[in-house]
Parts: sequence; structure tokens; C-alpha cells
Amino acid sequence: MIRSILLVDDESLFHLVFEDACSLLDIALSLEAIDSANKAEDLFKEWQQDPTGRPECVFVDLNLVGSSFDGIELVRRINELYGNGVVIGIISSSSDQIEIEKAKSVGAQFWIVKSDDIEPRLESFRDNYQGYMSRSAPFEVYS
Amino acid sequence: MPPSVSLPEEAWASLIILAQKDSIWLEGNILKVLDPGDSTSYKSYLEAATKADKETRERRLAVTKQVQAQNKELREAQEDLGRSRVQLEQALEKAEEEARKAKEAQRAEKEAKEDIDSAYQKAQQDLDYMQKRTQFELMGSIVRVALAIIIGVGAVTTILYSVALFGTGAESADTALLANTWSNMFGILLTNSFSIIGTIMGVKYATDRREGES
Repeated sequence: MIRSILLVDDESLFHLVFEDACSLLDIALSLEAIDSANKAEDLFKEWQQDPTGRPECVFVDLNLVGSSFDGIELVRRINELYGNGVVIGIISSSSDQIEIEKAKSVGAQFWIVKSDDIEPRLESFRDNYQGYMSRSAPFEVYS
Repeated sequence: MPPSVSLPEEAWASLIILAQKDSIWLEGNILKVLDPGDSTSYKSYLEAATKADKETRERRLAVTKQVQAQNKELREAQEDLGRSRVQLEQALEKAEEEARKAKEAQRAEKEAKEDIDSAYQKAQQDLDYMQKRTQFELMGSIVRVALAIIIGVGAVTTILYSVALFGTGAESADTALLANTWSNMFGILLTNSFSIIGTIMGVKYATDRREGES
């Protein structure tokens, strides 16, 4: 089970869906959801000083309305500047191959396609999670 | 390994009584970290609380998904509406453009009609002018021929009468009949001359008056 998850998604309804799905599937012990890439960056800056409360895994939406940069840029910043081994990937309704390749190139470890029936994808992700933790699992698209 | 939290016996007892009396259960991820130890009643409590929590979450998840789907439909409907509005605006612009073109065509048609009318009037004026010119030429010819005939007949008759009066053997000639004839004929010729001139003047006057009225 993942100890803590941070979800960065501008759609507040999806926060509820994701939280309930994760709880029902016993995916995570704790989950924090925020709606902005800028807020996420600020949090990671703080966790650089004091890692208390830093998540084990981060799910980032591709398009973050109201943020000054998109999900792929957030993944890049977390990986290159603040991440320190955090498991990170994209969760988006898009399955655009170009965006997927971009995400892969900045260090995203997975891409989960959002849909009405997200639980089976999260279950598959959960099954591969240990591989992501150990950095041995290849990049995968859950669609 | 997830962390594990142990509760004192009094806390477990209170939780169990609360659940039995008021159906109030612990819920959320705290259930995943509570350690019931070896107690079957604590384990039962945790199982029941977890079951209740899952049922609540399943219901909430279903409702949230439904709301999410409705939101999606609403967004799509809004986008469709936006697209329809754009199409409507484009159609309106097109209709306005067509109306403008129709107006221009109408104006061009009016101008063309005016040009045609103007050309028709000009042609009619030219035709009138030609007709009048032809009429005047015809009248001129008639007058010239009539005058030539009158003058010719007058001259011939006068010459004949002069010969009869002053020529050889004129003393014995009876010129009374010839004189009457010459006089009558000259009168007729003069009458005809004035008649022709009068007719021409009358026609000219009538034509000018008709033109003035129209």
C-alpha cells in the first residue's frame, strides 16, 4: 500500500472520485489533493527544507487550468529540482501520443488515462507500484 | 509496512458501544492503521466499520461519478451551444452579406432600367427627328414639284396665250376662249398653290402643337 499520495488536478470532483477509488482499492493510506501546479511546486520547495509530509507518489493532471505551467512541466521540475526519488506520473483524460512521449522524456513513470471507470487502471497501477518504487518498472500507459 | 495504532481498552469499549447504540462508526483511513490485537470483538468492530466505510464510499463514488458525467454532458452541451452560436452568427453575417448584395443588385437593376429608359427616350427622340426630317424632306419635294408644275403650266399657258395674242395672224384669231381658259387655269393654279402651302402650314402647326402637349 502506498503510504501517501499527492494528486494535482484542477477538477475538484475528480479529487473525490480519486480519493474514494484509492480508499476502496486499498491503494493509499493518505491522500492530499490540490488544484494547482504552482501550489505543488511551493509544497515541494518546502519539503526540500523539511521532508515531513512529503508524498511517496504524485499524480499530476496534464492540463491544469489556472496554473502558470502544465503537468508535464511540473513533472520535470519535481524530478529535476525537488523530487528526490518520488514516484511520479500523469493522470489525464488525454491519450495524445506526443504528450505521452513528452511526459516520458521528463521522467514520468506512468500515464493513467482518466475515464468513468478508473478503478481497473488504478488496480493495475497498484500491482506495478513496487516496480516504480525501485525504478525497475518500465514506463506504462494505463488506458 | 503501514503504521499501526493501538487503542486502550476503554477507547475500544466506547467505540463498540457507540456503534451498537447509535450506529456511529469510525471511518476513513484510520481503520487501515488500527491494530485490534488478538481481540475478536475489536476485529469484528474493525471489519464492520470497514464494511460500513466501504459502502459509504461506494455510494459516494457512484454519486460523484454521476455528477462528473452530468458535468461533462453540460460542458459538452455548452460547447455545442457555443459552436451553434458561432454558426448562427456566421449564418447571420452571410444573410446580411446576401441582403447587401441583393440591395446592390436591386440598385444596379434600377440604374440599368434608368439607362434603358434614357436610351429608349433618346432613340425615340432620334426616331421622331428622323421622321420629321423625312416629313420635311417629303414636304419640300412636294412643294418643289408642285411649284415646278404650277410655274411650268403657268409659263406654258402664258406663252401660248401671248403667241395667240401677238403672233402672226393674231388679228384674225379668236382669243376669247383662250383668255377665259388662261384666266380660269391661272386661278386654279394659284388656288392650288395656296392650298398646298396652307396644307403644309397646317400640318406643321398641328405637329408642333402635339409635341408641345406630349
